Amino acid sequence: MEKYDFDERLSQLIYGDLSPDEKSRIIAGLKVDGMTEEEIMSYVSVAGILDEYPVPDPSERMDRRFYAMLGEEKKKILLGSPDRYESKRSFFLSAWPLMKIAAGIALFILGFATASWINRTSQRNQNQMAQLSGEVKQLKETLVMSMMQQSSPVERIKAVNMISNMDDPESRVISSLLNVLNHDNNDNVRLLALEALIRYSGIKQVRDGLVTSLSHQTSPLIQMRLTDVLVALHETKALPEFRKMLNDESLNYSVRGKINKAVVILL
Amino acid sequence: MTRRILVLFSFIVFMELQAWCQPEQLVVNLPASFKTGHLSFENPRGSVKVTGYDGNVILVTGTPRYSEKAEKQANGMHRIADNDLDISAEVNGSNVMLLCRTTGKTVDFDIKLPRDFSLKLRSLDNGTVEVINVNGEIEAENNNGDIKLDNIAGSAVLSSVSGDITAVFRKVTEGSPMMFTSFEGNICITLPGDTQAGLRIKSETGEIMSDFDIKPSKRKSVMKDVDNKQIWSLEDWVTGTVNGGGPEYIMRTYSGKVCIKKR
Repeated sequence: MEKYDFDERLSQLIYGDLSPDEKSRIIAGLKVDGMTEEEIMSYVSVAGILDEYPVPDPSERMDRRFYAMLGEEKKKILLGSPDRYESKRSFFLSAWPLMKIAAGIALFILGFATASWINRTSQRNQNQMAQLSGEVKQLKETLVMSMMQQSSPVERIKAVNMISNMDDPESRVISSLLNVLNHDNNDNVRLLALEALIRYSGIKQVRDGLVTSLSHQTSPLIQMRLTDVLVALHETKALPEFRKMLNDESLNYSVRGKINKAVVILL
Repeated sequence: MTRRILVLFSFIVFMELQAWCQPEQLVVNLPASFKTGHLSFENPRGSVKVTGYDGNVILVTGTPRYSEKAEKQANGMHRIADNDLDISAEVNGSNVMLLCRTTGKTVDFDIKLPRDFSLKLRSLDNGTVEVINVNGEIEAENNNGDIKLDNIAGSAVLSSVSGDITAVFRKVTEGSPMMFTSFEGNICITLPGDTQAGLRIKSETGEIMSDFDIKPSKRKSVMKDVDNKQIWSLEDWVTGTVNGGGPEYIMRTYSGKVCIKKR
């Protein structure tokens, strides 16, 4: 407050329109505050010199520059403080490496979570698909089994053809196919069952079934084909069955010739 | 609910004293509501000829093939009737089963029935099997003779041991597979020109001919496990398609030819 009074009094002394009494009182007061008379006078004289020096009017160009700068300042204020922007930018620049690491970790976690979610979903889908395909396969097999009981040979042919296209038929399907080969009352369906069984000749049940089937066949076409298949499979277990067939006098002449050759090959 | 009707010994017997080779005829009256049915018949010796017609009665005529003069006379008497041939029909719903007893004689049977019938026919010896003008599924087997089908609408599964197989289809059942096999005979099938089918054919020693534009497929490689070894060979059948493919028609003969004709 004292300083304010001091500055104000000095200002009044220099610029104020004071009476001589007031001037001397202010000078006395300033002296009390520690200023010497020379100091006071130098202030007054400098002010006088400045007052005497003419202040030039601003040129038109200066005005333009001033208003242009003012406009820019206004724009900056409206768009946001450049200082604040600068500070943010510098903050980002300084925190950039840390942020990169954090972003990397976040991405990793996100990726891991997404992958595990997708994996879990696909696993669930796979399980569902496997279950569904298993059910479809079972249904198909049941359908085939019932079709093979149909009286219509066309339906039985369809059933045998369906088995031919199965990748991994169950044992019961193989058994029913062998049953068709041995007991179906139509020779054509039997022959087709044999053709279907050839595809699964890697299975022991099928090979054994083919050997025992020889004694059930009366159609020369099936006997011929079955002999060819057993020879191709090098199935020596068929030899006793072949010998039994050769003892049958009613055996077709061509089939007899084929079996004779088969016995020679398998021995 | 099916009603079981047993028709036995419904004979119209025409007797002649000079010869004993007269046909015997069994008449089976079907209900007026009868639309389609299935007939099965097995002739132990002799031929079977089935003809479809527009009627509602099944007429079965059995004719002994070899004439036997009625000269067996003793003490001034001659034979009036013999008991060599019996025919009976068992009707169960839409299924008709014909039974015959021929005491070892060769008897040729002629059967007339409504057109829409599926058939299961078999001749075990010394005869042909012939089917004309029938709409349905035909299953026929013949041990020692030919099988002839003409003007058929439907499908067929035919097999013969030593006879030829000839089948002319007016129309084929869509989506229905067919199969024709003969051991020593030829197989000749005539199909409508627009038939769509997949073909699987094999003739061990004969030719395969057709006037259809059949596109034969390349034979696939098949693998067999033999004594822990894998043996690869070409598949046994020749396969192809007619008019873009369809249900499978399978034909196999050992020493005959196969021909597929366009109707």
